[in-house]
Amino acid sequence: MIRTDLRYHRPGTPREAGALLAGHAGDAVVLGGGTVLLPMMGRAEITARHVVDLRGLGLDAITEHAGHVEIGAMATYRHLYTSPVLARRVPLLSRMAVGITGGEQIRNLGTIGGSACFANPSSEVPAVLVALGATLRLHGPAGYRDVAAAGFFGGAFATDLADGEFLASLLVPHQQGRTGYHKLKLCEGSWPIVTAVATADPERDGAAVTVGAAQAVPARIELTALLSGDGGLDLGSVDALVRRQIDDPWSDVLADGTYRREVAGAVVRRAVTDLFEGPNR
Amino acid sequence: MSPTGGITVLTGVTSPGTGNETSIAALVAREFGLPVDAVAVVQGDTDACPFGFGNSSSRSLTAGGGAAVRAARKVRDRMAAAAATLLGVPADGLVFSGGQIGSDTVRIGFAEVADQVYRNAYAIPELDDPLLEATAVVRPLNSRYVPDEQGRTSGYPNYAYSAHVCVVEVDAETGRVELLDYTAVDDCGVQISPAFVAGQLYGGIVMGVGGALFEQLPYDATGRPLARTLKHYLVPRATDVPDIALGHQVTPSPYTLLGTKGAGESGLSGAVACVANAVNDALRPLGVRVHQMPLSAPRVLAAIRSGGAA
Repeated sequence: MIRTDLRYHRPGTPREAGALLAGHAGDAVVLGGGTVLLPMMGRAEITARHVVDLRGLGLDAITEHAGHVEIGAMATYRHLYTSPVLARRVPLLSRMAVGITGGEQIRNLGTIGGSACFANPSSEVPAVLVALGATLRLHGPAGYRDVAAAGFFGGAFATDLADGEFLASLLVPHQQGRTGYHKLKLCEGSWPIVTAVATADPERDGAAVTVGAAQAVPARIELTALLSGDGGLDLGSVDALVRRQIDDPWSDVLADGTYRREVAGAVVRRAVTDLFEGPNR
Repeated sequence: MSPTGGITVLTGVTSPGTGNETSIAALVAREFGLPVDAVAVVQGDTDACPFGFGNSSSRSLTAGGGAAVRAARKVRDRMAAAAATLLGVPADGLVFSGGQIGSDTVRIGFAEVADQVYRNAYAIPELDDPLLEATAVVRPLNSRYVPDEQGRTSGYPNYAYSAHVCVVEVDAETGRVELLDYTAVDDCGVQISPAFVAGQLYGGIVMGVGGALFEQLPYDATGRPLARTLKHYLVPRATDVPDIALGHQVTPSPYTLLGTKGAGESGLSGAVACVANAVNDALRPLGVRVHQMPLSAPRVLAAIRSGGAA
């Protein structure tokens, strides 16, 4: 039960939503799917008195453009994994969405935009967005502004969103090369402990990995130097490289930083192996 | 028993969700040769039900079910006596079946006997007590409350009898334990409701898997619990558990009225040790062991990385 006296707002335009958030700055929360927010309000971990529901803005479309796909901030995981556009243009997002657990209720309600704005270090969406080079389109008092995913995530549960701003959509470039993905969880019900997206860039003959959940914000690690001439990658050097880069690991009740740092190398190697040997995703 | 032949059991044993009310109804219905839906069971109403000492140590059917059967048999004896008088035959050998009481040659409806006892008892010779109620208590014969010569007592008539085997795979790079296969065989004596026995085993085993591998309640220095959601207090989900194969050995207890020994504890009590032993068996070639519950991935990895120093 939410014990806070609160006012529910359902604005019909982005301007109205922005005005509500600006007018109640510090005392307002944005309601996306609600799968994280509402339980937290029930536990009185959030006691904001104004809830601004974005459902009236029609932000759940997934639209194909030349070179990129625009995903409305209210698109649910189900929207993602049932979208033929994403399956064709950004299959990593389809794959990630299929792997979201918690049952149909979560996948029908939870949104990729909400997950990005929650910025839980121990979650999948931030690193996937960084790996894909996504741009987050924010709406604020001065209209829209675009922020690269790598700059959006400022720390644990902290983003670049300012007072009066909300996430309107995500602009994700069409995937050019292949990706490999690996997610380590302690069990089905656990938040991710470490994730890794390995990407190959065929045009410049490069490779990189974006490690999620290991630190407060996603860590992009360049792997091009480890590429071998025969199209493979020197896996034996991965662990030491990753260990150097994950120098400030994230700790929470599921796993402390020592563990995350210990396993990050293996998770990266598995993503790289998936990149080179897995089904072509 | 009501004048229309409806049966109500007021029992002092409560149900923790394991279905003993259904089993008690089935046991009592069987005594009267009636379908199970002829019996209503009332539990947990302390105004209406006899005092029952609670539901513990796998005793709900051994004690509560046994007491219900014993009370039912007292009422059945009175029904048989009444039926014998009404039919003009000896009570011995009367059979309760299909809603009737009788023999190969004569029979009378079950409800009619109840009706006659309540409405006409004073008008029919030898049928003089219009009452079809009984209260009974059952105690298992192997519990001991008076100390023996060595001062020993035992309040536990039942113990868990089960054997568990499981196969796990330990990811040497992450410490994550995957449960690949699980088989358990139990012996709870006579099974009253086999589906509930299996259900308790499945539930108990999965609870044991959770305790062995995942579940923990850490606190911060100020005593605040850190695992406040089911994303942090990890319990097994369906995909964490393989299909569990169950087998049953049935050795009736000579000490209980129904031959039951209790099914509630066989799942959990074997599962925790079984999973822990399997993990340590997997770690044995590395010369390391992990002792502290749960055998979480970080703990297992720490043991692996200790290289036998722990």
